[in-house]
Amino acid sequence: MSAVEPLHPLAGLMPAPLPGPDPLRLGLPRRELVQVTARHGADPTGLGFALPGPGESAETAGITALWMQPRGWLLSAPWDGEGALLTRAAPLAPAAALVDQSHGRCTIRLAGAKSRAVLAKLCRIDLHPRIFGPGRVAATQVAHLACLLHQAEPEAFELIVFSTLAANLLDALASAAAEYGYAPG
Amino acid sequence: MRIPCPHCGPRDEAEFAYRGDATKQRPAPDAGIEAFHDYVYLRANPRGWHEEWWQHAAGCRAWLRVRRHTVTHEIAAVTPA
Ligand SMILES: [Zn+2]
Repeated sequence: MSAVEPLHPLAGLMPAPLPGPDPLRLGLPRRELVQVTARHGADPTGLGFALPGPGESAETAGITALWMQPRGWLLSAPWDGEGALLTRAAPLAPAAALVDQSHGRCTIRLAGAKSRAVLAKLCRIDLHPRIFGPGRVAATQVAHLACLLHQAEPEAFELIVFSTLAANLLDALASAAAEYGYAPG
Repeated sequence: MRIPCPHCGPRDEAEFAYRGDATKQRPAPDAGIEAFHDYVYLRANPRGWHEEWWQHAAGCRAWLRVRRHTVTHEIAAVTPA
């Protein structure tokens, strides 16, 4: 089945590349997002893996589960058609409320040797590897915006933010990265 | 000021919203207008330890009961609401 992938909410707003000594790679991956909120007294299972504890993520079969709040998670997966992730998450439904957030929120990815240094200018949590690290998640503020911050790889972070506020965040990230340079990627 | 969220760890005060005095108890439905006036409008303004509701609004969204010193901002206890 060929699914038409909708535009990322920031499509067309990516700044022109800025040359620099160690450019940050700014990416706009189009993801499906499903919010999972456990029902009172219920334990959502059925995805084939345990939903992660506070500040953690878990990944299986292309679905990444991010801890978002007590008894609340966000599932993220590459775009596979409108509602596809919601369908895959259906086994959780008896124990949890599922809400498709694929359009309400979007993902910005930053990668490169300076990604942590750029984020450190904009957020107040300790991202040093002895505290944070690959797989860790924080619901926190970045550039004064409430974000879900996920360290996807040793040198790559993903920010999930309300789509209506995302342009401001992209702008702030580009400004913070100016001394190193940046490019789409 | 930093508040140690029991779910997220220590976070800057900017991530939290103050949600009021945690010592106030809702009166019984038949307690009368004076008791409800007190409950809705009257607050002590203590110099010292105070029990407060804070919500980790820009983080995990949880409501927390925080024991805070109003002069030093020292925080003695944080528990989930
Ligand atoms: Zn929290």
